[in-house]
Amino acid sequence: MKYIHPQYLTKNESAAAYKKYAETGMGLMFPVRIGGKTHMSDTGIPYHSTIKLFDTSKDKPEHAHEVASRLSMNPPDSKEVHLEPATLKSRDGHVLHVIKLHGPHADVIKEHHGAFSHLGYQEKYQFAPHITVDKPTWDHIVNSGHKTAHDAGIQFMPAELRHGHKVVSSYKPKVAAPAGGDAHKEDKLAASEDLQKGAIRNIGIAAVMGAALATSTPAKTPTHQASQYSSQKMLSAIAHVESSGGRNTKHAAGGGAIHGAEHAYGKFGLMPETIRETIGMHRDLSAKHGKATMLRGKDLHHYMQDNPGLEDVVATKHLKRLEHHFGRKPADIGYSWLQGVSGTYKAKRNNVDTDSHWHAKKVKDAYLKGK
Amino acid sequence: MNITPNEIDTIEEAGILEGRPVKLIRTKGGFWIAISRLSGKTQEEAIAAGSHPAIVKYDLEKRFPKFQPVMMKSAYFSDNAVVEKHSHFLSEDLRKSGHDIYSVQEGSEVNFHITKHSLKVASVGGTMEKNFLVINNINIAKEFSRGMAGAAVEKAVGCSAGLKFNKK
Repeated sequence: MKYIHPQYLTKNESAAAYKKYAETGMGLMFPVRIGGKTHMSDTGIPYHSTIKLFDTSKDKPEHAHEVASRLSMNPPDSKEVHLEPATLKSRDGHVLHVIKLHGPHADVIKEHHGAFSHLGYQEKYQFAPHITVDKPTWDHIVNSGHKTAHDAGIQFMPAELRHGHKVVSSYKPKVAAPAGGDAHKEDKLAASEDLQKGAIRNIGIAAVMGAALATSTPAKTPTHQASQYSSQKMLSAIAHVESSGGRNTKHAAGGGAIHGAEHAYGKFGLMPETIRETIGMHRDLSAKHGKATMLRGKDLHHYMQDNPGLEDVVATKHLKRLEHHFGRKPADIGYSWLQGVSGTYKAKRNNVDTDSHWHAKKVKDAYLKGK
Repeated sequence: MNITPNEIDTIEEAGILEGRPVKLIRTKGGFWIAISRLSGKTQEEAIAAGSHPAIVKYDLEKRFPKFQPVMMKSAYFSDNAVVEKHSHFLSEDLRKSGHDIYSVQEGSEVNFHITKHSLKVASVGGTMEKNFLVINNINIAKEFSRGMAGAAVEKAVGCSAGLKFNKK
């Protein structure tokens, strides 16, 4: 594990200023527990991973909540979050200890951050998901060599919109999750769907609802379909719809501003932009296949042909991303496979009946028939 | 592929694959062939070949992830040569006819090998000079120009370097 001095994480506050901001500022974050502890031993600030800091001179809690309530605020799965200890130097020379977060679930924090680009302070740095920790905790993580948040005993709690010490709104999943295991992951993902539907529209009732959610954890038995969900089966269904299971891989040009004249590739009908994006989002893929992110059209197709197995890896990782955003619902996966993450969110914002979309129906049908 | 003893220049141990030795043969014509007896086979056979030992190693590691190279006398095989394949820039026709483009970097020297069925059919030399990949001589058939251009740019970008062409 390497520890670098990331210049792009320009958190220039001194410890005192950082503490003051944490006590008076407004931010959306995932509260974090590290080894069961909730607060830093030095400053007493709760451990958290910030999604967005807001400028209270112009941003109101309802502005932040309006955007947050549209997003799938599922806490990252600690098993899917990779760690990189780093240090930051403030203007007065004070060293802040941070744990940078990597991997697809950390990338979702980055995506959520981007959804608030019209709010908050003007950013002259590149946002990177991280947790600020006290030195003993940082040392412990460095010395233990833990690679994932799960190994380091880090747990991400449901997102909260905080104004100083006050929790303005909580984005707690509604489904009670059993501790550990895959079932836990499935329930958390299903919870995000419920959260979308039940998004609190009125900030006035948010605090009341937040308090209610905090004191009660309504148990919901996972549906039969959710417990039976299989990502492998989902990929087979997608391959069946996209290429008759790999038999017809001559795809038409994608069209539009993003895809232009580029054609989808292979049995899963992966669009080149999706391939490039997926490789770029995963450090392991990026380290090995980073050059593919610069390739276009036929050159990218040739690269995929020259690297057998990469198609399956990209499809699996892309599916995982869609599952994280939209839950393990075959129809939603089918829709988002065609329309992308942004397109699906946009459709949902505009109350489009995505379940009735032809691609969603075909994928769902193929999935249910086990094709 | 049959190689007669009088065609062989040198033979060296190249590594281990599935518990069996892999040998690297250099032919008198300058062609490099890796041979081994794969499991289920009764005799040794060619398992990779190329115009440069580092390309053979690259190919072996790609096709046989369990291959373990050993230090070699020739110092070609397991040294710091960096091999990259750039065949994705070749046209469909050239790819179908067995063409490939590799870059082999040894220190500041970068050589591009254009091969057909592993035999070198053209090459372009270059050097890394002050954050630039300088391509020294381009004397290749027109059909390779697009592939070569892509390979040169990709290599330069991979080295975080600019690209220059020496007109001499």
